[in-house]
Amino acid sequence: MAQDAAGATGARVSPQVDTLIRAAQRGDQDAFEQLVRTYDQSVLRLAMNLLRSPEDARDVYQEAFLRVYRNLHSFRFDCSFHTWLYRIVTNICLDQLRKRKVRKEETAVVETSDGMIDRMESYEEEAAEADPERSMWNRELKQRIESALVGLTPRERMVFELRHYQGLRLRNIGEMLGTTEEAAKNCLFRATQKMRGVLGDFV
Amino acid sequence: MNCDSVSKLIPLYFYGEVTPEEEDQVDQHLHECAACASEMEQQRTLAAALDRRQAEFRRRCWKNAAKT
Repeated sequence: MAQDAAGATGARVSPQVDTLIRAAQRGDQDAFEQLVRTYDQSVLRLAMNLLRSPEDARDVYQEAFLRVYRNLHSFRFDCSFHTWLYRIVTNICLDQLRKRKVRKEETAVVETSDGMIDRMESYEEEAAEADPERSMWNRELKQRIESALVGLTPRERMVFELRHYQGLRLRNIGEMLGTTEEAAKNCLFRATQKMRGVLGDFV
Repeated sequence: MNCDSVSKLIPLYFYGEVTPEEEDQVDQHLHECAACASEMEQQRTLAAALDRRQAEFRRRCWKNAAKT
């Protein structure tokens, strides 16, 4: 499970980051840039994991740091900077996921220099060379996973992704999403049940 | 702890989000109940399938990044 390199999840800001934040709050551009560099990979990774689209992830990344820039003065050190930043990122991602729900679309493909491709295609192709039966199984599993994820509400998906792929604690996830740990637990339970239901005899 | 209670705790147990007391109770129940043990196995399989999907997604992204 991923643990942010810039600081332990949920921990208070480190003295070094603390110094950078205070300097950036006073208008020090270099300090702000250094702050961005400290967190940019983890923000991009989080957005990529949540949205599974490089284009959308880049948009979220830009919007997130723009919001940080505009609102850093209001950061009061009453939670970790990591939590505060992830809250911004997850809110933007939630908006994106809700918009996708409205448009009824899901990014099952990624854009490459060769055009749009299915993001799990290569796995399938390689498996096909090795074992056709396994390839068929993988293809079916892939489709079911995509269906399962599309069937989650944006909030369920967010909680699930943050817990499963980012390795964040439900207490922190609740804090980021402006809800309780208990509500995050319920969300995780519902998400898991839905996915197990859709994956059926595959799991 | 009965099967219904354990079933609700399985995803949380898997992610280490239960209290130590709940963990002990679920552990004990899983040793005694084949149906719940099978449900736990399904949870592990689901997680493994999702991890494979993620690994492939990352590999594809790196591949694309290398091309551009």
